Amino acid sequence: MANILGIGLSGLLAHQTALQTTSQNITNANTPGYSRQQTQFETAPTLPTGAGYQGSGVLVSDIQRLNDEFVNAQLRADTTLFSGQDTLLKELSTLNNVLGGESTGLNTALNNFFAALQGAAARPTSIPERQLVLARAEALVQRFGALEGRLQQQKATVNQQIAQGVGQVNELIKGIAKLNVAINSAPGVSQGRNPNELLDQRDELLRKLSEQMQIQVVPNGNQINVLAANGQTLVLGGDVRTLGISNSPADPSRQQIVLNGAPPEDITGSLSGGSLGALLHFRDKVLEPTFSGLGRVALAIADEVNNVHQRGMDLEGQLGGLFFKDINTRESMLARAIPNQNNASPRDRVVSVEITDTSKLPAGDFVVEFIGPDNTRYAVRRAEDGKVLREGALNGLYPTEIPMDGFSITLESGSFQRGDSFLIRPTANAASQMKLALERPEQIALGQPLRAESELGNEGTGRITQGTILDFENPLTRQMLSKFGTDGSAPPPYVVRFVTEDTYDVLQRDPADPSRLIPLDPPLTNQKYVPGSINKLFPAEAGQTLVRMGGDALATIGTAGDNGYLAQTLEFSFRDPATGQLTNQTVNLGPDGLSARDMATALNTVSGVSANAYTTLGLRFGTPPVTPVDFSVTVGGTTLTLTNVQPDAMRPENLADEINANPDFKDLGVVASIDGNQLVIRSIQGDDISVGFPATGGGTFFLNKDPYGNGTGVIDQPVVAGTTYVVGGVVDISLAEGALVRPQDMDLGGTGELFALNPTAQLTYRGIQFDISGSPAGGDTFGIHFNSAGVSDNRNGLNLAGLANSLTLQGGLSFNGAYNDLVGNVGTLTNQARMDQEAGQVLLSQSETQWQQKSGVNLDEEAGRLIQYQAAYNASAQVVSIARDLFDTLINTFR
Amino acid sequence: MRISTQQIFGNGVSSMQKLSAQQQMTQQQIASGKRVLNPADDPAAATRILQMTDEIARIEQFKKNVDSVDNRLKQEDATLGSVTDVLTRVRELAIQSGDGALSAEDRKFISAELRQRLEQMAGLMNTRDATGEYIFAGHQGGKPAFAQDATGTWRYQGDEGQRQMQVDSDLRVPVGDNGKRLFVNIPSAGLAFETRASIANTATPPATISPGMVIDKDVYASYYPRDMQVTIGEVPVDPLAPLGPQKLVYSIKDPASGRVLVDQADYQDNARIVVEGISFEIRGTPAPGDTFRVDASSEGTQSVTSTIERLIYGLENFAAIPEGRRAFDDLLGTTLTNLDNAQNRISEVRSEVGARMNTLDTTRDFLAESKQLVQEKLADLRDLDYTEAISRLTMENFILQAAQQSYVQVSRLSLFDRL
Repeated sequence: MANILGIGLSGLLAHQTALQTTSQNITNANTPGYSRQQTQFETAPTLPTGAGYQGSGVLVSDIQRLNDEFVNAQLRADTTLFSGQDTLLKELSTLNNVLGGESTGLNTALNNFFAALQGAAARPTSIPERQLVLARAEALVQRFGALEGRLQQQKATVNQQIAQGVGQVNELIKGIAKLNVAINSAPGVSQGRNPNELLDQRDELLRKLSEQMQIQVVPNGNQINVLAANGQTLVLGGDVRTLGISNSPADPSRQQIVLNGAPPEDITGSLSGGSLGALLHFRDKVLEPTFSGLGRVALAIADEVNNVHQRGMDLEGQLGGLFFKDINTRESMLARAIPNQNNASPRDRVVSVEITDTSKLPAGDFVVEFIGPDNTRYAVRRAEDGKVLREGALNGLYPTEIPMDGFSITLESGSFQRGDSFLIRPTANAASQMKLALERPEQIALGQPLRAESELGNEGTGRITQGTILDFENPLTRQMLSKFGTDGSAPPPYVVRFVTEDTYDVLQRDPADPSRLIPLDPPLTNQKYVPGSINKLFPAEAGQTLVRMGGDALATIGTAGDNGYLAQTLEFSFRDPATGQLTNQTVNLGPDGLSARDMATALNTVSGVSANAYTTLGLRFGTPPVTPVDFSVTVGGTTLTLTNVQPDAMRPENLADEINANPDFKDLGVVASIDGNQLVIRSIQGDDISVGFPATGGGTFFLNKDPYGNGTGVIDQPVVAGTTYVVGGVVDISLAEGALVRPQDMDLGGTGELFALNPTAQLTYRGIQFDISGSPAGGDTFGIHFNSAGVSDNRNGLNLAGLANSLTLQGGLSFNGAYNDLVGNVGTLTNQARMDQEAGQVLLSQSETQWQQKSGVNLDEEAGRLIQYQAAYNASAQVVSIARDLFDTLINTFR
Repeated sequence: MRISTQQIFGNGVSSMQKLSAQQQMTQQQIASGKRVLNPADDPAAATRILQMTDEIARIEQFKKNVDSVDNRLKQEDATLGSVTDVLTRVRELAIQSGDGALSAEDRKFISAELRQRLEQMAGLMNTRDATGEYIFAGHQGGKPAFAQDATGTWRYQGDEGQRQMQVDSDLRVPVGDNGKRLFVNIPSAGLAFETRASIANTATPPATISPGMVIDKDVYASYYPRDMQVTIGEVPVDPLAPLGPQKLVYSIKDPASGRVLVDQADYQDNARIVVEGISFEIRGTPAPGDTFRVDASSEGTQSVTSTIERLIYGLENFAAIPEGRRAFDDLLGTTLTNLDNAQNRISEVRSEVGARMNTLDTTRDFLAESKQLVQEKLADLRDLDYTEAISRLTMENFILQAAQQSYVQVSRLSLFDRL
């Protein structure tokens, strides 16, 4: 009977507990991380009786937490995935809206700018149109600034979020460690009774941690250890290693995540997954390249527009200045190289980065490292993938230039040593540094500074183009070319003069005496003209050089058959610029007295060499003769003899008429002209010219050699009566890029050398070009001069506007194209992220479902249990009541 | 399968959120009329949309350029039309002046009208456009194309520049023509020359040289095409008294050969100087060292203004003697041919202008068509199909409503209600 009471009581107690557990479940139905609990019943120990084993009631063995560690792990993994994708999508969408928005993007500003340039080109004298160009340019600059500002803002926000994330991670891992300790020391743990609420809390903290980053959870008895993805320990039992934020030594503007300790360990690269991983990925792999790409477009626009603009002429007749601020200011060149904070002291290294060609400039960053083993070897790597692009060694001479595609790194000075590294950021911040350099609308250079005119008296049908400026500096040597009209001062105008219908000289007006024409330096004389086709006046090859061959012999005039030249051997070497192949060729210019024409023929067989021979002889008339005289001219075996010329007929114009009238001379290319009181005879083929003088007759004459030369020829050598003089020609040798000439048998005795000791090869490229077409006649002239007052000229305006469609950026992109590319990239990434995020969401909700299935509270179920347990409780109470009844019955029996 | 209460509520809410996000997107599409709201919606299409928007902007600009070129060319054509009218009148006057029965008075009237016509002509040659540019001055539109020098002769001050405009990606059309080609480089029938004073002359006021005329064709032909240079010098009146009073003399030589044609002849103001078959006058008081040039315009070119000026000179210096009449007849013959040549040149340029305007018309049509085409493609890519979008919205509304209703019903079920 007492047994029945005991059994009933145990039932009451057990179901009370069960009802408590159910109530706990009901009340915690919405507590995050709460796992539903179940009361475990077991039968109380049985007692052996005569009739067999008799039960003694029910016991509560345990209150169990319904939870599955595998489901937890899955949930954490999916949380990490989704949280990362979600964060990435949020950031990408923001960026995407900034770049791609019609009002926030670059396209409208860019189109407006070029449209304004078109408008100005249509009306170059209109100030309002020019003003519009300036306004639109300013708007473009501001748009670049605003775009970069927005990107900077986003970067700052991302950095802030990273800092917050790191703080959260630290809080979470500290909490986990504390719970580890608490769980370990909870009473009953050793008996296998779990502190359910503590476990739930710890699991919830782990889930929150997995939102921030990818973690590994390793159980260790009742405790757990938490590792980061790459194995670094964050929680070990009750100990933690917290994260921190510091500036990267390679780039102080960049924040990195470190594992605190001594020394702190940089884990920025290895941290992945979760929102922290996504933020880092976004910042370093999406935002930075976008900066760089935007900067590249800004640099290209500033550079290309400047290049074209500087070749133009403004409304006030000045050469076009900078349109946008120079992209290679000293300040910005230095700012592009960032020394590593860990470089050894003293910090005395000076490194600068110059943008050399925006059309080849890649986006992205680079690193210069001194790789050892000594202090001179360096390597240039691409920051993105670490690929080595250049390697080399310092030779101790500063500055050392490392040319790269589109830019060049200059190590200027300082104690460079092994272990040094420099971050090179050619395009960073370029968008915000773009500035307008022009201040007034008149300064927009819509015209070109050159123009050409045909002389009104020309007899031929030759027509000259208005010309273009190609370069201000030689693209190969980067030396300044002599500016045509620098500072608006009157330049020496050029004159193109046709000697015959197929030979012309390009001369310039002597600045000291504008009526005098002098050769250019280097000369551009005796050039061949092909009538009827388009002839380019100036050399087009930037690498071409010219050596004038005449040497010591220029200073002598030989007599009777001796043109002054001795035989000489020249050695030519030619390195093909494309293939690098080197060829050597020796040319023997002999025997002694070879004519310039024959030398040129021999030289023209050499590759990379083109020789141009011509001979000029000046005969100045002093006092006239007193009696009739004889006179003869011989060129290339043809002789013209004038006998018994009367003293008053012995005048330069008469001799010139005679020479020009001779058909044999005409065929040979012999032309005579008058220069004051001087008769100038030219052989355009370079034949020797000899003149014979009478023994008697009196009168004085003077010989000049190369009267249009550079002043090294013979000047005013008195003629000795009765002597025949011979003059040899000069050979202008044009050497293609890569060709060199070395004279041998030097110092033949002072005179007669073809080459002076050190012939200077002068660059012939002038950076300008004019075409003449048609058929000019001998004596026709064309003038080339500064385009003063050319206010209606829009040639450069068209060139500027044409930049809109030119494919100038690396990869054959226009400005708009490069920007569209940027937008397209971010758009694709965003689109991808959107799909990833959706997939991640599905995965996460699946594992959440799984967790809920196992551990979530269902209120209906709990209601059912309430009824169930209540019924059992009531029944147990009935058992107690029956026990009492039995007892009462028994008592009453004995009463 | 167990379902937790959180799941029942959570799933219901999240699916409703998803549906209303979709609905929101569709609503935005309908409100903006665009299918692609931002580049991520369809990255491939977004890039092409940007390209096409750029393309349309470019076409719009070219269309503007076409209109602006067209305006300039119309102005040029109209101006050249008036020039032709003036030249026709000048030609009539020239023919009139050949009438042997004319009196000196008549000649004066003709030359007076010719002067007026010359002024009118100069006005036309100095036509300016809406922005004030001189349209026939080449690149130097900031100053008049033609200006009168000290002698009253009209001289071209512009250059050979010809402005071009971009009217399509690779089509540039010349916007005008320079005065040198239109009015100066005109083939001349006779042996022609131009006179001018050197800009280095020092006399103030500067002495001037008249346009001059050919008085003996054959003599000048033998000298032609050489130039002449007149140099003013100063010599003592009495050769024996070198420090005594000085007088002005002039020498003429061939500048190319240095041959002297006239040596130190006495200078007199406005006296007719006859040399090698031509005559001209120097007026005013030149300074010693001043030079004047008589340039043979080789291959026979003469500006149209010179042609008229020379006719006026001939009329005003008409000598009623047989030699004088012959010289004038020669002049008249040349003048008529030269006027024809000038008119031919203008017709030639006008037909070029017409051809350019034709090109512009074609280009305008082409640009309009291209724009239409690009816009259609753009519409395909960017614009919303309203029928589809509205039916989608209706569908989404319907589903959302259903989700809401079922949510309410499901959430209403609870066993606790029955306890």
